[in-house]
Amino acid sequence: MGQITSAIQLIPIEHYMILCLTLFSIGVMGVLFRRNAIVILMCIELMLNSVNLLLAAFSAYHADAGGQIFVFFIMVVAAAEVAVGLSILVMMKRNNNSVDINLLSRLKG
Amino acid sequence: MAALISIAVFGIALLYIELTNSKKIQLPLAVVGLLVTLGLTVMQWNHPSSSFNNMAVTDNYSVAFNASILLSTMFVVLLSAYYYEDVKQHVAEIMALMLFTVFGAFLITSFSNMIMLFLGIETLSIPLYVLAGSKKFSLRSNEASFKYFLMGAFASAILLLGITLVYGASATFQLSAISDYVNNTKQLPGIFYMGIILILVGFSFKVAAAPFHFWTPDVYEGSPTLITAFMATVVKIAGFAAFYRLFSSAFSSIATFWEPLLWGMIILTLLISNFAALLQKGVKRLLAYSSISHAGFLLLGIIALNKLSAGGIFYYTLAYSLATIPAFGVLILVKNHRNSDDSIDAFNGLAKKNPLLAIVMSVALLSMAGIPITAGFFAKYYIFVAAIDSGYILLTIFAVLAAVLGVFYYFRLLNAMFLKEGEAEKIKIPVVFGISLLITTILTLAMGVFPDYIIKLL
Repeated sequence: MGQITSAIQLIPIEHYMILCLTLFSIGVMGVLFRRNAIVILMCIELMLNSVNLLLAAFSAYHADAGGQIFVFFIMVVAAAEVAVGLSILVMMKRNNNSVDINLLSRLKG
Repeated sequence: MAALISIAVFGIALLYIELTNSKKIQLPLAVVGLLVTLGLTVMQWNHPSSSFNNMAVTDNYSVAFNASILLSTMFVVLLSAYYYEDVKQHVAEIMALMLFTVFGAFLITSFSNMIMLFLGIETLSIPLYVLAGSKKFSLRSNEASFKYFLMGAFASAILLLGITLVYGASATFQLSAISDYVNNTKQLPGIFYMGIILILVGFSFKVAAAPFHFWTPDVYEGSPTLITAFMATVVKIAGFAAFYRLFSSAFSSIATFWEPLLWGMIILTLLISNFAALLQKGVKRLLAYSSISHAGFLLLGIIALNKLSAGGIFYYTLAYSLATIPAFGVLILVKNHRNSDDSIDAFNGLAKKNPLLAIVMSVALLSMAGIPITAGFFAKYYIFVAAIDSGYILLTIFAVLAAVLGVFYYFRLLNAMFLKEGEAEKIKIPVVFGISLLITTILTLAMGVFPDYIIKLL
C-alpha cells in the first residue's frame, strides 16, 4: 500500500474534500428537489458513495487501513438499504401505479 | 456477545417457523427468545467485557439499556397476538424483523467504535422500514414506509459524512482515541467541528428532535399501530443510549462547542411538539407529537452531561416505554371497535363501560404528563435535577413550562374518557393483550412509588 499511499498524498487532501463534498451536495439537492422516487434513491447512493471516496482518501492520507475497511461496510449496508428501498418502491408502484412522490400526501396534520 | 448471538439465532429460527405457518408456536418462540436473551443480558451485569476487537464493550450502561429494550419488545410482542389475529401470513416474519431490530439496538447501546455505531443504526433501521410498510395493501402504510426509508437513509448518509470528517481529523474510529485526540490537540481543524455538527444532525433525525422531526408524525400515523408502539419505544431507547454514549465519551471535552447547538434544539423541540400536539385531533398523531416532546426532555439529560444524566436518561426512557406501550395498546382496541376511527372523540365515554381500559390509559397518560405516583414524575424530576446540577436553570424552567403545557393535551383525552358521553360498548380484552397492559401499568406505578431501585442502577 505504501506506493499508492505516497502517490495519493501527492494531491493535497483539500482537493479530495472539495470533490467529495460537491458530490455529496449534489446528492442532497437531488433528494430535496427531485420528485421521482427512483432518482431520489440514486441521489442517496451518490451521497453514500461520495462518503466512500472521502473515506478512502482520508485513509490513504493518514496511511491507516481503518477507513478503507469502513468503505466495505458502507457498501454492504448501502446494498441492503437499496434492496429494501426498491422493494418498498415496487409496493408503492403496485398500489399507486406511479413512483411520483407528490402522491405521498395522504398523511397530513 | 452471547445475548447478541441468541437474539440473532431466535430471529432466524422465527423465519423458518413461518414455513410451518402455525400460529401456536410463533408467539411462544418469540417470547422465549426474548426471555433467554434477557437472561443472558442480565448475567453480564457487573461483568464488563469487550468483543469484536474492542469495537463493542458490554458494561452496566449497555446491559441496563439492553434489558429495557428487551422488556419493551416483549410487551409489544405480547400485544401482537391479538393485533395479528386475523392475519394469516408473515406474522412470524414480522416478529423476526423485530428481533433483528433489537439486534441493531444492542450494537448501538454498546459500541465503542464508529463502525459499530453505523452498523448498529443500519441494522436497527432497515428492518423498521419493512415493518412500517408491513400492511402491504394500505396506501398509508406504503407512504409511511417510504417516507421513513427516505428520511432514514438521508440521515444515515449525513451521519456517515460526519463520522468521515471526524475520522479525517483524528485518523481513528475508536471513541477513546477520538477523546484522546481532542484532549491532546491545541487547535482542532474545522472539519472536526463540521463532523460533530453533522453527527448531531444525523442523530436528531433518528431520535426525532426538532428541527429534524417532521417525518415523525406522518410515519407514526401511517404505520400499523403495533409497529408504531415498537418504533416509539425501542428506537427511542436505543437512539438515546447511543447519543449519550457518543457525546459523553468522544466529544465530552469540547462540550462548549456542541452544547449551545443542543440548547437551541431542546427549546425548538419542546416548543414545536407541545404546541402542535395541542392542535391534533387524532390520538395516534397526538402520541407522535408527545413522543417528540419526550425527545426534547431526554436531550436535557444529554446536555447536562454529569454523573446524574446516565441514570436519568435510563429511567426516563424506561418510564416512557412503559407508558407508551399500554397507551398504544388501548388505542388498538378502541380503534378496532370504532371502525378504525382514532380521533379523540372515539374515546368518549370509555370509562363507563370499560373502566379497566380507561384506568390503564389514564395511568399511561398521567405518566407521560409527569403526574406524581407514576413513573413519569420521577423521570422528569431526575432529568431536571441533572440539568440544574450543570447550571442550565433557564432551560429547566422552560422545560417545566413545556411539561405544564403537555398536561393540557393529555387531559383532553382523559376528559373525553371520563366526562363526555359516548355510545360506548363493552370491549372484550384478549387475555395475553390484557396481561401486557396490566404488567406495564403495574410497573409504571411501581417505578413511581419506588424510583430508587431503578435510578441507583446507573
